[in-house]
Amino acid sequence: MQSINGSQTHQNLLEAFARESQANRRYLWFAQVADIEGHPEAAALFRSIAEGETGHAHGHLEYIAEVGDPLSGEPIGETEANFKASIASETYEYTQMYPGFAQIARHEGFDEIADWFESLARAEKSHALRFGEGLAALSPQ
Amino acid sequence: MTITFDPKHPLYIDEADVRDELTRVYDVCNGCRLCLTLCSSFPTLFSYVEQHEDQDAGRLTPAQQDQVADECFQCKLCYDNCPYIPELHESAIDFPRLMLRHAAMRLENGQVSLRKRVATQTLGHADALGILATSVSTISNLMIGAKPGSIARKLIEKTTGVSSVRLLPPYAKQRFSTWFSKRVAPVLTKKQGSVVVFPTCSVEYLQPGIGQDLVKVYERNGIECSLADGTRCCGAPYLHSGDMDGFLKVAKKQVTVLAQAVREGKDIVVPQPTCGYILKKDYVDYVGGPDAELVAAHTYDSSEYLMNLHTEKGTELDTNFTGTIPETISYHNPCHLRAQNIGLLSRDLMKMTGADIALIDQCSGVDGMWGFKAGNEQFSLPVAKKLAEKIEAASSEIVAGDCHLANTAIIEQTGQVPQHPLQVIARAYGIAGETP
Repeated sequence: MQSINGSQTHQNLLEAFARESQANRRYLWFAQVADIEGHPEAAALFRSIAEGETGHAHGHLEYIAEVGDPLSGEPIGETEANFKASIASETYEYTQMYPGFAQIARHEGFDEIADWFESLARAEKSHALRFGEGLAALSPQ
Repeated sequence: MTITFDPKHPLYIDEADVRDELTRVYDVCNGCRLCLTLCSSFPTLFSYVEQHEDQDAGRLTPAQQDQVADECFQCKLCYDNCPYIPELHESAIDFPRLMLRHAAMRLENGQVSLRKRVATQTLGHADALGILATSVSTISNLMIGAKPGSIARKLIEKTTGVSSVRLLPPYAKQRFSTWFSKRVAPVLTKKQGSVVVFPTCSVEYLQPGIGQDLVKVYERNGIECSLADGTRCCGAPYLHSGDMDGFLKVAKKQVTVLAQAVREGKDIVVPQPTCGYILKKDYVDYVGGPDAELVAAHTYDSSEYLMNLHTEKGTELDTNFTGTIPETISYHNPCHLRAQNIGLLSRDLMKMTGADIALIDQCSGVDGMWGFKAGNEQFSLPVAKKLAEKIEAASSEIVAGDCHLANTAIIEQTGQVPQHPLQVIARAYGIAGETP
């Protein structure tokens, strides 16, 4: 098969991957709400369909991987590369994305959301550190 | 580390094992942070972990681990938030039950202050205290009704471990069970069910009006009400303080008594969320066995039972509300009712009267008796103030809430006296409240 790099299909795969990934998270949140409301059958249905959406997202990602990580743009595929891409995306989130988001939220008067973004920046830093340890364990120097 | 919530497990109170398990769980929580705004426990945890460049939760000192645990007041709200609970994820994170394990470990190892141990024993003997205090209610209420911070209240704090600055609920002149045994039960024209009312310490000794209205509302709907001989405090004060022996002693007796009532064809209704949660969940988790399962399967919150009457085939709820109905109600949804995963049934029930309901989904910071214990005020009061702000912003005609203790915090913070949803329904039927 020819490369999808630069094609409209690549763009469509990226959009489809984003939607299916979001669908998974949305349905898991809907399942939580159903649990609280006392509807365990509805919660189970949401969780079951969420699994299906994960499968769809993975299918898209398998094609996308040829071009690179949809978030960081880094190469992905094998575990070493996947660790590096994960560190890159987490690092972007804790050094640029969340601090920037927090600044805007505070500027707009949403202090509670700004606190949330700032706390998440620190959480993403811990994720990047863990991935760094995982990468080091994978290929000891 | 061992993932166990079973007090009989040999490592349940092993300090090294508990501290390793705390490290594992704290690390997962630090990476997630979804519970950031629920209570002070999580921000405290994150601040300790952030003191270390590598964010290694294993670097927390035992004192820091204990501080995080001490700030957990068992509201159970993190169950709803957490993507890592045992039912959903192999990480099997159960923060509230780990905190109880930690409390049990510290108690067993002599790491709990005398003041806290005294408070546990005082609150744990809720029945003895309640019987004594209601028999001399004028004197008891003079003492606990004394000005917060006064010498009388400081004396109470010194001797019982109960906060000298929080507003405390007064004791009733007549216990609920006394009223129940003296009343003349009506003849039910159309019997739709039979229940044992689990009185709870709150209703039995503090606010029997809730139980009185519950019985009248139920009987109007053809539900035969009775009390079971031998029902006592559910044991929550012991459990929440880590006194597992004290809790299990109480809990096993209650399971036996209540299971017998279920075998006689009765359901159990509980008008207080914390006690309902204990009967539905904690007896199963900690006592276990077929009787605990039987009790849990037949236990209902008092509004839940009525809503089942309304929605199930073959039964009917009287919706002829001709009494006093407020236009607007601010309804406080207590944490331990939310944690029962039954939905907002008190809200739905009150909505049927035609009133507009403003939902106040905010913790009161009381949770069992935690908020009333000396030393917890700095954490519990800001939570209660947040609740008060939301109630004041809603500005409804009346305030309603299922938890008598949270309602006391609402009185303390807003001056408004909330009603239990069953009391709202009683007034909507035109049933007058008994004179206290």
